[in-house]
Amino acid sequence: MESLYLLIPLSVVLVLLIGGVLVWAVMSGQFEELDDAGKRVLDEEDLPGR
Amino acid sequence: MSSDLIRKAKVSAVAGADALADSGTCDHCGDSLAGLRVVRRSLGPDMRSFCCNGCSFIAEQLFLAKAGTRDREALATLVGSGSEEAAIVPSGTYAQTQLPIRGMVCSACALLIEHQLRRVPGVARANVDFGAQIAYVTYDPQRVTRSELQRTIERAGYDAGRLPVDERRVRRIDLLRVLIAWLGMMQVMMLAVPLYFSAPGDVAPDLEQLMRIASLVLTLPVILFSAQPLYRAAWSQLRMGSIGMDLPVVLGISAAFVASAVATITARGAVYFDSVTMFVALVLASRWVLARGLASAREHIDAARRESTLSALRLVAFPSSLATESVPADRLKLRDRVLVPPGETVPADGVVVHGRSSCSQAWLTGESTPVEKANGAPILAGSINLDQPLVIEVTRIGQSTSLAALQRMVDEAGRERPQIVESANRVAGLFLWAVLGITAATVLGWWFVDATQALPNAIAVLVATCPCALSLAAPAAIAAAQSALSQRRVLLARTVAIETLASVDVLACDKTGTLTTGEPALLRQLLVRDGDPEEILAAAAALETMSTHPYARALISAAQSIRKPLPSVTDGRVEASAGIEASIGGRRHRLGKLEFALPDKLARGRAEMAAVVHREGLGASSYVVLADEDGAIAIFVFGERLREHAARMVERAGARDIDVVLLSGDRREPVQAVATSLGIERALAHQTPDSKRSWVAGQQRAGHIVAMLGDGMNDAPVIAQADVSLALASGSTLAQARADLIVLSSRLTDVDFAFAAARRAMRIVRQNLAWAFGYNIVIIPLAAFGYVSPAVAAAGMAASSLLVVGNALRAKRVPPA
Repeated sequence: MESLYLLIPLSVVLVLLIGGVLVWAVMSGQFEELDDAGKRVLDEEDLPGR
Repeated sequence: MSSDLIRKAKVSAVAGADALADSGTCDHCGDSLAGLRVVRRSLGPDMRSFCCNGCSFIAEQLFLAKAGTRDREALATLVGSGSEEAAIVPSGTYAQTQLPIRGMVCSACALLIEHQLRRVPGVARANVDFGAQIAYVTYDPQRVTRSELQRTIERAGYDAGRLPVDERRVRRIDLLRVLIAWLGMMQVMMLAVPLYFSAPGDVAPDLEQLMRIASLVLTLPVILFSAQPLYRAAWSQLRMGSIGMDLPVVLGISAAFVASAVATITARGAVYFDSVTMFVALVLASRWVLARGLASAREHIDAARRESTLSALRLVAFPSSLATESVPADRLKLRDRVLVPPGETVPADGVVVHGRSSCSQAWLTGESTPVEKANGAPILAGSINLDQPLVIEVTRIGQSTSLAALQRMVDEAGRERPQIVESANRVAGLFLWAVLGITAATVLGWWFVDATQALPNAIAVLVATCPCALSLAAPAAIAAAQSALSQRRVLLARTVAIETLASVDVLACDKTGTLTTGEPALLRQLLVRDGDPEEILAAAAALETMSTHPYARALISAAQSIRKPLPSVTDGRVEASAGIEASIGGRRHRLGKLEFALPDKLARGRAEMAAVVHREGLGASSYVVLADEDGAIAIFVFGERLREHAARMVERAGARDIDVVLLSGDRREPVQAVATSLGIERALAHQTPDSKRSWVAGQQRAGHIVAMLGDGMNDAPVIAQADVSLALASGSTLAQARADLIVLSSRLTDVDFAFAAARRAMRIVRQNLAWAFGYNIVIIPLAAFGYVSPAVAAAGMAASSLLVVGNALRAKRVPPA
């Protein structure tokens, strides 16, 4: 059980790090236009040869 | 009020045509004039009275169109008189501006800003369009500046767009708030779950304290960063004195968080970090999904608005040269010459100075038949030129054009539209007071029994009742319905529209372009002589292959639909606006107008045919006659082609107890024909945009909830007036700019689907509210009397939230009707 005294603070630090990565990912636009890429293939205005 | 007086003074000083209070009714819309500022305008020999400038303007337009005056001098004086003054605010002394506003969360925000702006001295008119997030202000630049207006908006607590804001950045931060809330929730849950399932004493006290501190650290960003929009919305609601759902939400999470933080620091008492984070995460996620759908609808509407600003081809040196330059229509000046190529929209009101062409004025009159325009004829902005290029001299600009009049009518209708408050917000105030009352009673009651238990039990009440079901019920179900709609390519522009759509009992439909395609179709074939009807149809279609007339397309497609091969045609000739003559199987055939089909040597057949036409009650140009050397063979009758699934949509609406009414600007016969073939009982013909609007307003006064389905510019005012409106994307952009739902597919079955989805979503919302009510009835007394342990309060809240969200997700699956 003693290990928890180290692991819990460590997990918090890890979460904060993950949070930091999330901030970077979102703010650099990694999550943008997620469904557009999939829908583009169905777009009527995107027929080949046009 | 003061600005109102100033406006009146200004208008009457400049125009001199307005009089206060009058009896009688408006000559155009028939509304009572009592108590209104009456607008008088001379039309021909008579002086007429109108309730507003919009009515007066439209009446004048109709008068001009009917009079068909060719005398340009007379026209110029008529159009010139009062045209500039007719503007509600004279443009000389007042300036108009549009201010983008950010930070409005509901239509009450829009009302507040309008109210604040109107109180500024020097402001004549202020309208805030919540959907577009824009304030339209008319003000006196001598007395107030644009930046003072912006400061007024900022003082009211909104962003007036002075600082450039990166839209993309705002969107990303919103997403980040949701993700951080979910990350925080998951981690706090991991620390909370072991404590739920451990027996007292299993976890060492200092380890438990460490877990609480870790939870506090993880909850901090959720409260400080993620929940920020909730706090901001609650603050603005508090300041306006209008209680919305955000207030009880914020109260709940604040109470729970502060109590938990205090408990953590003092190492005494219960913590609710898991409840807080979970609730914030669920609320933010459902709102984010909803906001994303609204944003895509808004993008479409913005594009529609941009498109609806016309551009014009100005002739630089007409008549010596035909060189043109492209300018925005609102930059045109009086007496500018404009070229309108066929297929284009007329950019400004004017008179034709060169050319002859037929134009469709369907947007103003709703009439499907084009009108011939030649030299000297007045022509209205928004008409569509069909045949030949026209040169037009601009006679009106700015506020006095027919388009501006229509736009004003749309604005007015939007303001008159009954305000429907989302049901969750309606009960929010009640809920808030009930919770506060019970909390206060709990504190007071325990104070006398056991003072140490007063605060913990009050907190338990706040946490247990935290309005999870109430605040999640509607947004989650509406977000699910919205996603179902968007899969059918139906855009939802206002969330409250779902709620309204579910309770609609009158559906008003436009005819041309909405229930019909606007293209003619073959309705009937009357045989005058014995023969195989299919062969006769094929022969007629074969003749029509030489023509480009709309009836030709209708005949050919009718022949194609029965899969009859067309006979070969030889030695044909087409006589313009009369008919076609050709040989089929060695015999001369003629197809066209009666006089053409039966030429003079067959004239004896004409009277007989005329009798048939009369007996069948056929309109003048709704049929063609097929004849050969021996006389007439058949009559082909044309009518409007119904849109696919129109009958099914009407039938399904009837099955939902929705009364379908046809409102059309067209003549009585075609309107009645369409109504009969679709089984619509109530059909109104000869409707102007304004009379459509006042009809809907009348229905609303009678207590009906009216939905409007339209497509054209002439539907824009009624679309703004109706409780909820649907626009087909194939129609005009002005109609779409004001609609609540935009049917991108333009399929009428999707209109029916929208009704089905809305009703299902609202049924689910009611289930959720019933659950929330039942749950609170049980848990509040228990919590108040101290029977709810922190773990039970937290678990109850989590279960309640999950149940509500899970149930709401069912709104996504709309059963095919």
